[in-house]
Amino acid sequence: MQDPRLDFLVHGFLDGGLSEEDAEELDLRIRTEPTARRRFWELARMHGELRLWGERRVAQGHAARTLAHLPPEKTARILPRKRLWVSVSAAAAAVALAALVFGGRFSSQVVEPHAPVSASREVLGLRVVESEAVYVSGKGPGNAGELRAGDYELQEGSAYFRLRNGVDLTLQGPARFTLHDLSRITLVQGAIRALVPEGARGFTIESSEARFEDLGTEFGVEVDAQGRSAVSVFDGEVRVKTPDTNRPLALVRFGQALEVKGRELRPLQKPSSASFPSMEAVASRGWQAESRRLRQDPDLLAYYPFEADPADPHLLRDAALHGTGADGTIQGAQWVTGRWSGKSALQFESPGDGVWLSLPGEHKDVSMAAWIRVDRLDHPLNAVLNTNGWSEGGFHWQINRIGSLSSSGIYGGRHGSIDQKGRVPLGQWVHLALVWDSQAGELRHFLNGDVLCVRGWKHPGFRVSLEDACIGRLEKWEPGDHREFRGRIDEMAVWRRALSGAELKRFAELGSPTRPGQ
Amino acid sequence: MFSMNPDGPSPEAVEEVERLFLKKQSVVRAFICSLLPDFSLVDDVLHETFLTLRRKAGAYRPGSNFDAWACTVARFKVLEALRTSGKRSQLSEDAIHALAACEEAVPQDPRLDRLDACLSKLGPQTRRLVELRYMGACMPEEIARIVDWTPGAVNVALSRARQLLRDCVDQGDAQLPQEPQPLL
Repeated sequence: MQDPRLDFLVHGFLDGGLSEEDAEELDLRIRTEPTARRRFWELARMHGELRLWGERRVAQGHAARTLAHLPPEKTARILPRKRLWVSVSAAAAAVALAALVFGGRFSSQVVEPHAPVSASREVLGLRVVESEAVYVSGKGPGNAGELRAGDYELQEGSAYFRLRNGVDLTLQGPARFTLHDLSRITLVQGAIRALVPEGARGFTIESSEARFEDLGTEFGVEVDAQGRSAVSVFDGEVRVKTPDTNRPLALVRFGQALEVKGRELRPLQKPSSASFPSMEAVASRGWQAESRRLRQDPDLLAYYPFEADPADPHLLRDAALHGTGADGTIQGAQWVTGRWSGKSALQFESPGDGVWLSLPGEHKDVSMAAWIRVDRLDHPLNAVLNTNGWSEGGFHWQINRIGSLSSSGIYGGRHGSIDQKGRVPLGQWVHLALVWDSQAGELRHFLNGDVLCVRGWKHPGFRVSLEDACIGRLEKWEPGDHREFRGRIDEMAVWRRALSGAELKRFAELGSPTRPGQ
Repeated sequence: MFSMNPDGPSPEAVEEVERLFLKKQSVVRAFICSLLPDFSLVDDVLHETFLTLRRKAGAYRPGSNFDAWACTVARFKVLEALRTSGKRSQLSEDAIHALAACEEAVPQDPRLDRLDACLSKLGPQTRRLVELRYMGACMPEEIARIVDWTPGAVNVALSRARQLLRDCVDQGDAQLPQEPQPLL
């Protein structure tokens, strides 16, 4: 029933403009009338959503026209967010982006409860990924990979960080640096590569010899033990300035490199990209280290890192050290590039493309995980990994035409399906997992390490069999029932136990490519 | 449910709560915005909510309603912030508790994509008011000065705009494609 008076009061409250009498009236009605409380939330919901929308627009840089009307002290309050871990898709666009891209890695950013928040305690950035990184004690990122203002020393290995303003930094040990704030780093020794987005233009790496100020977009600075400093510009331009007076010394452009010692400038032949690992290279090395660890897991039934074998391009090698050597047979699918350059994947594109597998045994608990990139969803159901046909103990792990995950297990001559949930985005690498947990009596789906849905699976006699299975298609289908996968797969693992959510989250994070769309 | 474990929550519990918070923070944030017309306190309240949830992570049972738990904590933090900031709410503490006890008190995931499309349907003047209120975080008095209207006229225009947007977004719900039945 319409109640214009109540609507007036609620809207007045949401805009902070109620008279004392009106406020008392609203207060009384909320305390005594359930319908008034329901109506409050109906109207307040839009108010809350509009504020989220507004914050997102500000973060996306659409606020210029609106903010132009406001006094500076007001805009200063609106734009920056001092608390990284509570920003939504708001002020720190890079943070929100990273939260999406890295599947919740930012959830680990933590300050001590009740720690006073000051500029020096502020989290300025986070580790994206690292590879066999070793830091000097007390001079590494926090437990959750967070960077605050201070001194850092990477002894060996490599690391990739993202600052809150979207600046990407990679380092190769040994490297010593001081992070001052979001716009300035002093490099004492070693090499840093920086990729600077438009919004962080002016980001500066200093050495004892010079200041290197970004004018967009990708450059590296190297400082050796003697203090010799050199800048290499991979894209855009860098202005070189004196360290003390900030006087411009030179402009270094794309493809150029310059060494600075004292007041002497010496052009170098070309940028020394070998000293500066790319973001992809660090991420790739991190994954390789994890992949080497994974191979030793005694519970692996099979592990396919999708490494092309030049001697036999039709072989998908099982790399599990304690498995049964269940190599797959590739039919049709082509070797292409995977999550990183140098990482191979199989492209499933043509009719008949697939990889045939035979993993021995029957298993009451099974976990499966895969990195996939879907190009198209051509069919009502599109196979990730299916047992062929509808034999007892079989299963179908697949994505439907609208991108939801859909699976079934076959027992007692019948199907048991899992609810369709989630949306697998097209054209992006995603981590999928499926877990049959007999103890919990559950079947669980994961997307990028997050549980998508859980379904009861209380069939004590059910045993999963992968003796006749196929990646990317369903063999022995019924006429007209095509389920061919269209896209790339570059890693798949099958375990004979139910993996925990934390384990799958770790795989999803460590294997994540570094950029959106990859 | 919210009793403190003297040993503190396990790292796994903390990690799970942090993960859920990151996933659901827009819901919690929208909840807080609804109770605080002046948005300047929202960041602080959300931050305090996060710290409390993290500290009490051991009390969270995986699979239970995280949104409801987080919004309950947020409600107390709203009241705390109002008390300590000296800013006076137009609702009493009893009313805020009553609101949070309402079953609709936990908002659903925001529908921002549809909202974007609906906002484009507003007239330019109304859109400007909405932008000043929700992008610029201005209260109606400030907006009135900027656009040279009376505060009352701004209030009316904003409430109408919210109503129109709510209708538009809700209608969008009905037009969303239905998921097909599973094909096995």
